[in-house]
Amino acid sequence: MNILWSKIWVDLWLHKGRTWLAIINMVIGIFSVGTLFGMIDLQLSQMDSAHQKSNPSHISLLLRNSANGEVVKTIRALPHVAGVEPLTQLSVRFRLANTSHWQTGTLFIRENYESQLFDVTTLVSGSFPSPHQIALENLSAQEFNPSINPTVEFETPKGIATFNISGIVRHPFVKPPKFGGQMHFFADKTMLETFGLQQNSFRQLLVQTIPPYDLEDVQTVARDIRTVLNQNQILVNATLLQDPQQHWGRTFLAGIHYVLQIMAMTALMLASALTIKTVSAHLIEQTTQIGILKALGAQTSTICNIYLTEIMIMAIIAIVIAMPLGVFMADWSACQLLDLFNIACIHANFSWRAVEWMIIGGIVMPLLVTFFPVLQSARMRIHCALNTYGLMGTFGLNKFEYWLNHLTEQGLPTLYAAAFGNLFRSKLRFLLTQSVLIATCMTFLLLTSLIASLHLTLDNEMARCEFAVRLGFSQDQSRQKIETLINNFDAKAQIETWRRVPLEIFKKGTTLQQKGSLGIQLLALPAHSTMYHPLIEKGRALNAEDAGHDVLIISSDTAERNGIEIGDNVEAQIGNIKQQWQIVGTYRWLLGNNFAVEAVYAPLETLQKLLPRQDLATYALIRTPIDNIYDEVNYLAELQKVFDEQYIPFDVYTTQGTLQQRQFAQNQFNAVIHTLMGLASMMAAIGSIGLSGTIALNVLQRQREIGVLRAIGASSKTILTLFWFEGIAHTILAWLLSIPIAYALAKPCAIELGQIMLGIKLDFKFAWDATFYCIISLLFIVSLAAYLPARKATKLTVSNCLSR
Amino acid sequence: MIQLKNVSKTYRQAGMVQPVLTNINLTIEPGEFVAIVGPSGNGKSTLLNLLTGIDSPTQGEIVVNRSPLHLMTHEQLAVWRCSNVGIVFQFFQLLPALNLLQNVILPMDFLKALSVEQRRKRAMQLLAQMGIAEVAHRLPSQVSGGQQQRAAIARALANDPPLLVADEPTGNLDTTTANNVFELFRHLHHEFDKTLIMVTHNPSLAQSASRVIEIQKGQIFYDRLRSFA
Repeated sequence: MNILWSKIWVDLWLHKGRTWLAIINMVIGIFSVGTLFGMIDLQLSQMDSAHQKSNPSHISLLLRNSANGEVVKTIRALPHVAGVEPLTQLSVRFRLANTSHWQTGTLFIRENYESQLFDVTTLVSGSFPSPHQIALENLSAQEFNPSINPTVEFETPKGIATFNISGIVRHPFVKPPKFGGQMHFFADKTMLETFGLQQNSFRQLLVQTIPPYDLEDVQTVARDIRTVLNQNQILVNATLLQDPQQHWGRTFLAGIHYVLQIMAMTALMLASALTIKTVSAHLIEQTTQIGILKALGAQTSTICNIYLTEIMIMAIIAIVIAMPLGVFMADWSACQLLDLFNIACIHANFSWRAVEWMIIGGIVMPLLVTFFPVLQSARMRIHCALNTYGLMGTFGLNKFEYWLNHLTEQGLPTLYAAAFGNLFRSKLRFLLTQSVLIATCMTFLLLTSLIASLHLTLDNEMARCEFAVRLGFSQDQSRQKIETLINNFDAKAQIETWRRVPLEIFKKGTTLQQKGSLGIQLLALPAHSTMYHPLIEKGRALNAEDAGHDVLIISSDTAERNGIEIGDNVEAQIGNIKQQWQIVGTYRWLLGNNFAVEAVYAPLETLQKLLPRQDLATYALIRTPIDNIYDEVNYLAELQKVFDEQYIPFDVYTTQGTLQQRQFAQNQFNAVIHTLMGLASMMAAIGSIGLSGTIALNVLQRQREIGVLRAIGASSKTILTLFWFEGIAHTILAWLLSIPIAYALAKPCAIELGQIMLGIKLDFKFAWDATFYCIISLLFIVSLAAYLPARKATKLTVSNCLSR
Repeated sequence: MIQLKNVSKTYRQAGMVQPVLTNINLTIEPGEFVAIVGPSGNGKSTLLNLLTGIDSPTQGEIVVNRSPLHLMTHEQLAVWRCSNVGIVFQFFQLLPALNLLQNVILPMDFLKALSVEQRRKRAMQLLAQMGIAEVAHRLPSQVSGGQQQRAAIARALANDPPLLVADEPTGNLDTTTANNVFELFRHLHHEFDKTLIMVTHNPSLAQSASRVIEIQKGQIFYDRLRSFA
């Protein structure tokens, strides 16, 4: 073997601790990019593939009242419509056999499961439902064990009916029960009569347009369909548009994926910083050998080759360790997330992008980032390389170090003064360690500020809800009847009723581009409402003087997308009435990125003038003293009994208490918050590994100094304190530096991330309390991280140290 | 009094047992100035390390001022050294992050026998005795090798130990500075009545000691007391 190769192997073997430290640093970077990029790619590709296989509808319309076969025929004949599949989706009350607990679920009734056209439901086990049988949705089956509960009871207009479960099916578009989704059941058309619906009547239309898919064309077709339905007195509750190539869940994941990719790149950068640090320490220790090699005639390129080869070998080992782990974790985590979206995971897949990044992170990055320190060492002059002896006393050659010593001499005992001075002895290591710790601390503060801002935004939104409970009705109800029922139930209750109607808005004859993925609806509330006002971003809120005037408040996003300014007029069609309305304000729409119907606010008094029946209400808002979510749930349940007795069903999607609503909104944020917390934890872990590495390198490099300290009488406790204090001093310094940086960056970052992840402009709050938690948790982590290498220092014998 | 009885030291290298010191018997009385001489690699520094508890014998007993070093743990030895031995190294080994004054205070901080103010005062006195009080606040990198060695001697004297040990203290100094440092050792020996043990390669310096012990091939080759007229 070539002698230089022998040196390379001996270097790696003799300094096993440092070799492994460098490899672990590289593994962190490779594993992070491999896992996160791999998971994202596998998840998205399998989601899209499952979505395409279900032959997704381009337009899905949820109807408030039933359509018949004639209406479907008319829609089929519209231009650009390729096909229509009608079905029925109902809210039902069910309970497991022999239990008294009734729950709300959704029942899909399809004509024929063997010839489904769009949003195809697939059979998982058993069989599709035959007459008087029901099938259970796959995610519901995970909550509701059909082998233990083979039958389900339903409330029907004819009384309680019991059905056997025929099998389990997978529907491409249901919300998991774990995330607050309901149980979903499937039945054939014979069930329509059982639930009081006419044969050949439908509550949902799935439509495909003629390819190629074009969003604007699809919006036009959706509007044409709504016009046909309108002409037939059929109201549309929601319109959902789907891209046939891309899974609908991408919208939910875009923000989280964005953060995860930042996380992967951050991990790679921090891992690179740690690698530079470890390699630099190795080069410093090799200084004498470099001098000897150069004295013997080695050229700069030879020296570079030696050390870059060592780095290459460590990088290859890191790849061998990290790549299978990364590929496995990517596959595993993708499958976990696919399960949430009701998609059967196909294993043995991998992402080429992840593999490319692992190679870049594993080989290119370490070589790239260490090239400069290697070159700098290789170009060192021989006399500089060979004149290091003693305790490498180069400290104090500049004014800063002299000033630092003067400062510590005044205020610190000699041991702590030495520890503080030691921080600055290796400038590169100091800078890299500080960079990693500052990045850790700063990211933690940015993320906690983002979380605090999310909570503040939610609190502000909820603070505007001055009602305890909102009742939504499946069909508009008589206002007087509702108020009487509520007052009989709760004499203290203050009530306000609202009305909701579908509408189309046009600007210069063109339908508005809207943010709401389920369409737009007019929400008419009393102009002098004391229960709720949306958060106005531009213009003004509705006031008592607006009663009877044609004024609207629309979402800021929709206004921005369509270039609408305050004072502009738009044309709105409600049923067959088309007229001009003036925009007086724009509001911030919380959770607008999720599937939701976008509200356009107008005075109730104006709407009542336009519609034939003035005494109807879609919502009843109740103000009553309720302290906690349990009381709220009970209150709603009792109230539901009262309305059920009068055959007035609640709309499950719009009936909820304020505290419950806050909980739901919080749940929507939770995925993002948990991702952010994961990122913060990962940063803390990398920071502590970085610091632990620094202390370990200090111990490795300063063994002679440890020997001297031992020789002049330092106890183990003293040595432990010395290195531990260095870790603490590093942390406190990084913490102090990170606060102003985080403070300056937190607001723009929180606003930008809020926009990207949630599509909202957050109310900003800097998490001052987190600065305290940051230092406490960092000190805790650092104490642990510094303890092992510091303890190792105490185990060194004086003779071993001094013989180096 | 320092007593070594049948002391041997071996090292294991590449699976081979390498004897460094063999069956050393030696007694050094309090107040003696001993020079240990001999060729490189014959065991001088190892003997010094054994006397200071830096290393432990493979066999035999070492008792220094009634403390059985061969029975003590590394931790006990560190605490013992703090008050009983002052060590001066060839390369000075001052902590680079501390100035000369702080380096002298450091062992006193370990021992905590004096108040903070007294430690500072004594350190300044020692530096003044070494003739380097004016550079007390300078860092090691900012002073000459001779001044560093004087500071290292002051540090060795900080806790007023009865035994002072120096391993080639002039080996890294030019001739004039080396002579000055050696004179300083002689002065300390006379002035403070310390036991002084010094490893040196310099024959003329060795001749100035009251006793010269030559180590060859791990054994005491000769041990001679010198009388000064």
